[in-house]
Amino acid sequence: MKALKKIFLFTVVTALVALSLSACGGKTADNGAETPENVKPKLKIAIVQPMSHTSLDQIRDTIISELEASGLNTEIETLNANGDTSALATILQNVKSKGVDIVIPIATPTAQSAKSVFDGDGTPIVFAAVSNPVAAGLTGEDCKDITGVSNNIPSDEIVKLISNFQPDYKKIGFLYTSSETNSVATIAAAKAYCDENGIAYEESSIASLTELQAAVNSLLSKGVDALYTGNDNSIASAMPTYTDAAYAKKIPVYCGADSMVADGGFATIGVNYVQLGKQVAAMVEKVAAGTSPAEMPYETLAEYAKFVNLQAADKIGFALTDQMLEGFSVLVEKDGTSHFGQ
Amino acid sequence: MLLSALGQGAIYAPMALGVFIAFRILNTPDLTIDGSFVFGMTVCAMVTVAGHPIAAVFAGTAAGMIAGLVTGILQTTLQINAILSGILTMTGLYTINYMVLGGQANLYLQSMQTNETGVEVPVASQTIYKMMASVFGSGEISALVLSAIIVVVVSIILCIFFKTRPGMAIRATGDNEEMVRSSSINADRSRTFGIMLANSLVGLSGAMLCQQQRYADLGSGNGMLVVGLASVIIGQALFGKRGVTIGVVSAVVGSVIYRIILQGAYQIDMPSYMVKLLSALIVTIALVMPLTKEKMNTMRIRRAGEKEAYK
Repeated sequence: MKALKKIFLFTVVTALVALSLSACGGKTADNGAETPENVKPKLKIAIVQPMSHTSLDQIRDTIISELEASGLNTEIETLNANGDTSALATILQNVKSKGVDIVIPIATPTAQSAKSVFDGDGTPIVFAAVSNPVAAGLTGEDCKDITGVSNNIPSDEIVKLISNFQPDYKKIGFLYTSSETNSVATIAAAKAYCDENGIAYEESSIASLTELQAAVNSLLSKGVDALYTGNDNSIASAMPTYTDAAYAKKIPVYCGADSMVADGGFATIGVNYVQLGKQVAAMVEKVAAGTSPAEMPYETLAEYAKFVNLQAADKIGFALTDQMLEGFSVLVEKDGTSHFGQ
Repeated sequence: MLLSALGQGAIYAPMALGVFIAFRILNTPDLTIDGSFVFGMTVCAMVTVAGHPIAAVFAGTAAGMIAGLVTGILQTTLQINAILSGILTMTGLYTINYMVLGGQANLYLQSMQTNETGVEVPVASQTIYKMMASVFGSGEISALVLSAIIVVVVSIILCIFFKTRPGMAIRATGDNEEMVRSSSINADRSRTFGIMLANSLVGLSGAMLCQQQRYADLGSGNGMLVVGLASVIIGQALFGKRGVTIGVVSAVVGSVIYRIILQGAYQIDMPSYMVKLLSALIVTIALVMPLTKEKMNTMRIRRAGEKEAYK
């Protein structure tokens, strides 16, 4: 009896704390005016991301703005596990119990958790930024309600990018975080391509950001002419550390995302997250119009983003010719003005 | 809604029990947990993909036990500080886990099989949760029942074990190692065995999660120790510090309540980045509860005393 009383007390106190915190602001993006003739039920959409960082946030924001512009009467809820993977299932189960029409999980583990939580109950799942949907188990017989947009980058494009700016390069240095599925997959494919075509490379993987500087320096000491990192969430959050170490030795840092170039990387052929978000939003609109996900195979990016950072080029003493810059957009000007997100 | 929180709570309950054994019974801060959780998960994933879902759960448990053995040896034979031993094992396990998954960070429970037309297609592996669903109908209830059965069985075994001789030796080692050493019990062996027991439960928890969510991911162990500690502390705030049997029950209940609170936190309209702060506050409240109770008791006694004095 005593224990019951305690449980009650405890729950009340916690609820009070939670309520006082919730006063810090809501999170539902609402559109569609509440007018009497607006009787069509709102389409409930939940966007779930595993953590916050530039590219994931960019995907989320693009999806929201595209859907708002589409004129669909939607109620979009955005949720974030803040890096606590054990909370992903909790968040998704909440979404399920509240009732939702379309779920948009961002990144591989989120999409996999969404699959296991919704377990083929017919709720359409449109994933974003899963680099290998087949390996992630999102394309099998039991995935009729699942589709989405993969963010895979062809390896030959990466090598083309490097030879465009450094025609006489000898050796590439690959750097990635070993726990990031997307990043590892990109590098593994790039290494296979290099092996096939006789291109020399060195690789270094880190388990946490504390090892970043040492890993960069070890690659530089092995005489690489160029560094490449795919869309690696962890390294993306520490670009200044990465580029400072590399540019001190006049070695360029090529990367897999435009956000990474905005944060100091030299050039990218990569995922255009705005484009990715637009493709996801377009798929969601199709689902909303009644197309079944089963009729839509997952998509890859329709166009890649090619960006260059002139400030970084200055730091490494590259003189860029017009021929090199063909097809590239300048993301950061010589004086550091950034056009990112415009 | 409550069902899913109960289901999650049951899956993480063995992990909370492991934390309880390490921190409360053995009085050892064991940081192996973040690593052994994932180790149980990855080993379970590989055995599940090979087609043995039931054996996979035991394999995951055994994996956790091996992790515990390593930490135990570091602590006792090599005389390395307890916290550092756990950190060393956890760090080393990262590489081991990576290798177990075949050099990747994420593995979905499926295998490539040739279908009738001769094409290689991915086929989802059988799991204990799917078996349960095929017998008792699909859904969260069958998953919850299965997890609950595992947790109850494990709890009963633990309660009985801690009443036996070797179990008593582990408890005594945690209570007063000097005394144990002087009474000719091998304290090192008891300590190692206790850490193995704790981590085997953590490995079991990782294996259960792996089969329930149908994938293994290297990031799954992040912050696991904090979750376990929060569960143990919440349980203790409710049941108080009493015998081992009550302790086992309180760890399980704490795990479930932690999940219910977390679910509630994501349920109400607050930005999801606030949840971290909320969980920190919850643990703080749970930690302060016994103290406030004591304070209130002393106040009551003092007031009664004053009344007596002025009579």
